Amino acid sequence: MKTRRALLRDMGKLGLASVAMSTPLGQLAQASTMGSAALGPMPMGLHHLPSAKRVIFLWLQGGISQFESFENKPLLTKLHDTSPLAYKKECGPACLKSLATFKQQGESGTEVSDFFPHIGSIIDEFTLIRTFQNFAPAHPAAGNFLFSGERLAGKPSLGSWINYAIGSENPELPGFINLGFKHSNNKNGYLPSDLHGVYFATDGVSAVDFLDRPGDIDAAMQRMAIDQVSQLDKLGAAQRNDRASLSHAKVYELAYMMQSSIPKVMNLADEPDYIRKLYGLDQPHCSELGGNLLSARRLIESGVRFVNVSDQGWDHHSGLDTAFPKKSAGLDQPLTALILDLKQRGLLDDTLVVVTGEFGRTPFNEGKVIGGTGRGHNPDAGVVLLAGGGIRQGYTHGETDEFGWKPVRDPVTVNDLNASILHALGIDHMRLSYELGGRNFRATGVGEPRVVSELFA
Amino acid sequence: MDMDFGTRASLWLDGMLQQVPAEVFDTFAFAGNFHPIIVHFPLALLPLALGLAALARLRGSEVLWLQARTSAVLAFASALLAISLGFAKAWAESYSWSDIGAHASFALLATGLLAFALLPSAGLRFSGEALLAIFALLTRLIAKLLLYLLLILLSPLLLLLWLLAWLYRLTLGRFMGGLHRLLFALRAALGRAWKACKNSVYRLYLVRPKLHSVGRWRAVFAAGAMLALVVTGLEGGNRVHGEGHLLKNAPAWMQPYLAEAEDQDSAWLDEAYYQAEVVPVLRKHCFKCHGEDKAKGNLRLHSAEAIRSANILVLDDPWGSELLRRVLLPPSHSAAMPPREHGVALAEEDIATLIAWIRGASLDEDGGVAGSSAGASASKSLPPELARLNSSLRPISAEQLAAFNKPSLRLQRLHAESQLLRANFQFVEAEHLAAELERIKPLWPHILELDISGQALPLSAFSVLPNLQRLNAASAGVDDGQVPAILAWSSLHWLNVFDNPLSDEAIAAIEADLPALETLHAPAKETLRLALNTEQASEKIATQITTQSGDKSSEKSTQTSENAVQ
Repeated sequence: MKTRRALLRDMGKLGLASVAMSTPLGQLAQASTMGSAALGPMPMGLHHLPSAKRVIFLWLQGGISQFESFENKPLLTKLHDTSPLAYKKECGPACLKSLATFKQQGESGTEVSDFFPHIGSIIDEFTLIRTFQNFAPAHPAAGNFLFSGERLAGKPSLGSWINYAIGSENPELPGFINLGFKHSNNKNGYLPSDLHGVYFATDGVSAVDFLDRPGDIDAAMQRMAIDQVSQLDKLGAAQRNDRASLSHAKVYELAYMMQSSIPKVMNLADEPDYIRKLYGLDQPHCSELGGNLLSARRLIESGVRFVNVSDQGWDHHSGLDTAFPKKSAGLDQPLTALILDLKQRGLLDDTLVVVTGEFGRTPFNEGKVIGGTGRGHNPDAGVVLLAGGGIRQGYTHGETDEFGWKPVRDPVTVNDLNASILHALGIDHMRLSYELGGRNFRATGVGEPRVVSELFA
Repeated sequence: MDMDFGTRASLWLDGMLQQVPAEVFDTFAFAGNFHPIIVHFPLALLPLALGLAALARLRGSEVLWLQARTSAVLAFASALLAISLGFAKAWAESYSWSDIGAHASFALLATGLLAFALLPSAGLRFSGEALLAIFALLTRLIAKLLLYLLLILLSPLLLLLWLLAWLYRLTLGRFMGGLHRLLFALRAALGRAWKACKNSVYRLYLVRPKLHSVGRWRAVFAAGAMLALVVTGLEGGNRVHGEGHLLKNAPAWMQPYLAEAEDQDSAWLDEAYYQAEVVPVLRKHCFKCHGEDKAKGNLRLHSAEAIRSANILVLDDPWGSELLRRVLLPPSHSAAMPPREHGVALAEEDIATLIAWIRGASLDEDGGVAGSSAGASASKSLPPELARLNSSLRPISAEQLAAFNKPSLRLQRLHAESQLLRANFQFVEAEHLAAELERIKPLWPHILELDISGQALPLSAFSVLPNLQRLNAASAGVDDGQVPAILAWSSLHWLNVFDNPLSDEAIAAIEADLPALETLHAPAKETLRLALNTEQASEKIATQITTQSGDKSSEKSTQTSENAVQ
């Protein structure tokens, strides 16, 4: 059987690569609209010099509460359990004071809650956005918006856009990988289907479903089948000018290579003990996210362009007092470990780490309505942490009113954030587009979002 | 197939240019330098030919005719030579069409007209006829268009007159005759005028200049060529001596007549910034030759006004400005400023000052720099040191770069408008390294960033990459024996050798001997740990975790409510 390396070497003669890589300009519709297929739609290269090459996008699904993490509003303590007149209509019940106490940390003096002692110890690595706005007040639309820049479902995710624009550097793995839990926001939408965000489970060798060769098929037979399919796809692509066939062939070849690359890259047992301990793999409350973030680091290291780690369970409408401490402890150590680990490996210089929920939470106690203690959705203000990849260190962007309810200065919308992420990667979001049905679609919706240049060092 | 013709043509041309060996470029550069000398031949010979021809006509002398014709032919030949050398010069020194467009167009026009004047009689008559026919066709077309435009404009008036006349006749006209006749007459007069116009247009078909003699046409073409040649010469002079060099020193009484309607655009660059920031730079490097005392190449830079009249800046476009182009040329280039023998190249911060100034930087009220460079747009162009390197590299087309790319070896441009590359060798095995490097040989000087992390490749093999600035060799089996290879990259400023068997001495040597090194990620001296241990972290969290792990039921209910919202 051919080794994976030999396969890569011989790709010029085989299946996918001979279609995708050696297509003369203009021979296929794909090539003419995307430039050279080998280099994506930006064949001439990046729009400007990048400060980051890869992205780890940690999504705290549900929306982390800023008042228990990075937003200290003493007024809430004063007004606790009372209902300020001006906000009565929006939030009804009553203010809810923070469950945390805050302390200024690091040289920047950023206030961090005592739920996040480890993050507090490295807060100078981060830029903190306090005025993140999503506008969509419910999870499904907010999730769509966060990942694709549009509220409706079915649009391409940011990871697909980035891989569409500049490709991945690892030929053996997908360029866009989804860790944590499976969700519907990592779709390729109208972009070619090989740019879909592929879900990897945490557990090493069996990280990808149905990847192994079935027992009764031998290696040669499998190779032959793939070659045949690739040839058919090639034929279809050439005869019918069909982009989908190319993606089909690409996905087959990639899956074949992943049979050998996945067990290697996803095997966390390779890591030395001190790293496993650093990420908290030995502690039950950290092990899930810790394992995912460690996998993310390994994937990034091997040249994967965009890794989305999704962590479920931050939607504390009630049970803020009981569930939040455990969630926060489960985030605190692994995230700190990731930053320190990336830093010691020199990867933080060109890896952008983004940590965000889909929106923030209200300063008011929703538990008064539905029972328990908790906060509702606040699409007008939330917190985002950014680190690495040319991001300023120890900087806080934006300011909210004394309730933490609406921004009073420097709001950053989802599209502003995504435009800034693309900017860090050397992509001008106004110039990256995909034509569909007579219109050029962008990764950042239809407005004119702003690249938040203050975020960059 | 979907590419338009222009793109394909430029790609083709690009490909052809790639085939041109460097010696040919040098030859063109050499030959191009003779252009300013050769141009004087047609400039002298054509007036001579015209003068001789006039004299020959007055005297009726055949000998003078022969002399006139000979000098005209010589003028034509030297004009052709001058044009070829001019294009060679333009190509070798990469002038843009906006620089030399007018000059070149008029030169081609003059030579073309001269060629007509030198045509044999039959050819001249034929081309004269053809020109006349085209002229006649055009005049008629325009006349007809004008005519119908007039009709459309007049028709409401005619209609109104006609209506008024009828109304009058039907009402008052019954009792007071006469006036309606006047109206009818007026309308009839207008109608006649219309017909007259129409007729005169048809008469145009009969108008036709007569070709009395071929000689007269020769004279017309030759005079046209002379005119075009004068314009060419003036334009060329402007290129060499600066805009408006002829009239600059005109006596005072002449000035009012010469003053052009100069646009006093207020958008011109900030004077205070020029005085405070730019003048020190220019004084250090330029004023010795281009100052108040001296004006080499007729260029003075000692005041903003002088720079403005020299026409070497394009507002808000540093890279399109001649001043910056000259300053950024490699020192070995003949047009580089300051010249190698007279000074040293500008420092990066000085170039940055010039760029900021051209981009419209100004001084704020406190005298601090309020540059326009803040914000996202600033990072779009290359920083000066990269721009300098970039301009010295041969261009690579998108197609060529695609051909060099393989799934296992990605080569990507760092920046769309640059020839600078990042190379990823993470998926190239040691046994194929030599072959792969050989395959991409033309790209060696272009590679600024190299990634071999996780792949044990000998660094010495990469010593063929002269301009390496970033090297990621984490977990790549780099040992002390490979340190000399690292030290040879003098422009390396980012180096990652994490997780490699390197001794402390080797790291110290790298830190000491690499002059440009800014960032070094060395192998870890001790294992990484969190700043706080679990006890220090927080008692609060420790207790919360323990109580929570026993309290499964409440957690479960939270989880379900989340799912419901999802």
